Amino acid sequence: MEKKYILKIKNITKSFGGLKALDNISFNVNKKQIKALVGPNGAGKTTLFNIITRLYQPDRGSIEYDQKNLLSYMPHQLIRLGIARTFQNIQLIDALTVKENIALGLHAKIKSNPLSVVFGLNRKEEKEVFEKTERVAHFLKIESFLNKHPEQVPFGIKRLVEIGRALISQPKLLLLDEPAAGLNENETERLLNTLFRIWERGISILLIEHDMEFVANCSHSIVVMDSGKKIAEGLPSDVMNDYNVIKAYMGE
Amino acid sequence: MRQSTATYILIFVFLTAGIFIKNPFILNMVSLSALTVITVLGLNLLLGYAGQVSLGHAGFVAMGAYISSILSIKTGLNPWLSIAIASAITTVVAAFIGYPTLKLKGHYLAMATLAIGEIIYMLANNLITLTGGHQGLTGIPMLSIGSFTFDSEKKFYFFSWAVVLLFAFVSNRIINSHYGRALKAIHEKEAAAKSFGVNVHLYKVAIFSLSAFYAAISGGLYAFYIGFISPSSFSLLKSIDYIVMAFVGGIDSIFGSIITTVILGSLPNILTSLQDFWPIVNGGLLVVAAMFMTRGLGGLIKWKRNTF
Repeated sequence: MEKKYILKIKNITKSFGGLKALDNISFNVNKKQIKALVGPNGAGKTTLFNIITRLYQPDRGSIEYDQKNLLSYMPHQLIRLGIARTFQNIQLIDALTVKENIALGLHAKIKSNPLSVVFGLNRKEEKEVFEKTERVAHFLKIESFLNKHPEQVPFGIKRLVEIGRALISQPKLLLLDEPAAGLNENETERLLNTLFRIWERGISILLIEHDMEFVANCSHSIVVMDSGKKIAEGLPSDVMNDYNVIKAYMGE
Repeated sequence: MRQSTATYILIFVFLTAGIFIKNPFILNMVSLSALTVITVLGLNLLLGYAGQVSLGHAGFVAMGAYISSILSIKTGLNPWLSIAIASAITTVVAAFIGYPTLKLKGHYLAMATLAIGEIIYMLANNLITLTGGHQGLTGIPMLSIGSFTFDSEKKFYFFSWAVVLLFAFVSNRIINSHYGRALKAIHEKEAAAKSFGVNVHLYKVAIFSLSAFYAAISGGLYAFYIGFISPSSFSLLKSIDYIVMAFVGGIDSIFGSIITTVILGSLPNILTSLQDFWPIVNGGLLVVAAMFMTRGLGGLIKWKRNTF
């Protein structure tokens, strides 16, 4: 039977020294779902994100992705599995143009080898790469920035370039680390709109965010974390009313 | 103008100049600079693109020079074959050394590569039966193709710049491909490179080995051109010279590296009275470049990007 979920996180526990950063966290990300992970600073969101992106190994628990054991993969292999991510602190390459930054997302799919590169047999493939780059830029409406360097474009555009770099790899699961952080109202609006258009293409999205309003506007399901524990999960409207959430945010 | 176009024009200018230069002293000086250019181009890939420092590149030049010379002297092997074998050995050795070393970052990597260079220097000094110790190796045969021998400064001048052309071409092709983009990503944002499928450690080791290959070819050609090698040509000071040349030229600029290497490689021979003070000049240049010209000479020019 076809499974409903694309990512199944089960009993993930992780300690740093005596501190339990994650305590028995379990939840699923369903196919074609926008799932949000919220919680105050120190809730363990980023630790969980780093486990999913394979930068950390959990002490206990399992993660199933697309019927594979995700914990047996290394960070650089995720993109081939169809998992692409963005970063909270923008990780664009200043020495590359916006176009080349987006093209980096296709790195794992490029077939040319060192010999074909030296003999110039990669030209056709490079041309295709940059055609795809333009299509992605068109989708994100950032064509006019393609030949600029990251330091020359506004902050909100940088976020979109990062999303473009992830999208060009045609992921099944998109991981967004605080995509709305530092954006102004217009930029947030534009990001919301972009997320829906990405979702319409059938891509599942898991995002970390601590802007509750943003999350309530864009996600289908929310997981709330506090001090390493999952304290609520459900529809945005339900979770928003949940007492525990209010408590965690109010610091009471 | 694209940087690659400017680079080819520059090399072509050097090749053409060879027709008009009669003075064997100058021909010799610029040929030797061309050989240094090859090493610096390799260092460029490592330092400028992948962002990994090596303070031991003179060691790889030494390996190329010694292994090829010993092969040809002791076994009478064809010099070309000796250089090819020596370069292959150096590349493999660099991969083995690079595998653990390139897990280090920053100062630690600098120290480790410095140690590698020193170890190779010590071996050249102390494996006396093979290397002749500090007195060096003599009687290294000349390069020849059939009955054509590279026995004059002029002949070697053209040959050395043709080799530069070849290596600059290979570098350009790599830089302007997805490998070049991946290397720049490793340089600036390792985490991002990793999450987009770049096997960061493998790439670092590969580019380290490739740059050692450049160095070994340079060393091998040097040995068979001069006909004599001794450890003093491959000391730590040489490694630092290479760094200064790459850095002042612009660590990610092939064009800048070639110009700077020829100038800095030739000046000590022209200003002979300054020779003893040269390390001071070199150090000063590095400081000036680090403070006011972080992208080097090549970074001063606004190049057109390769676009498709």
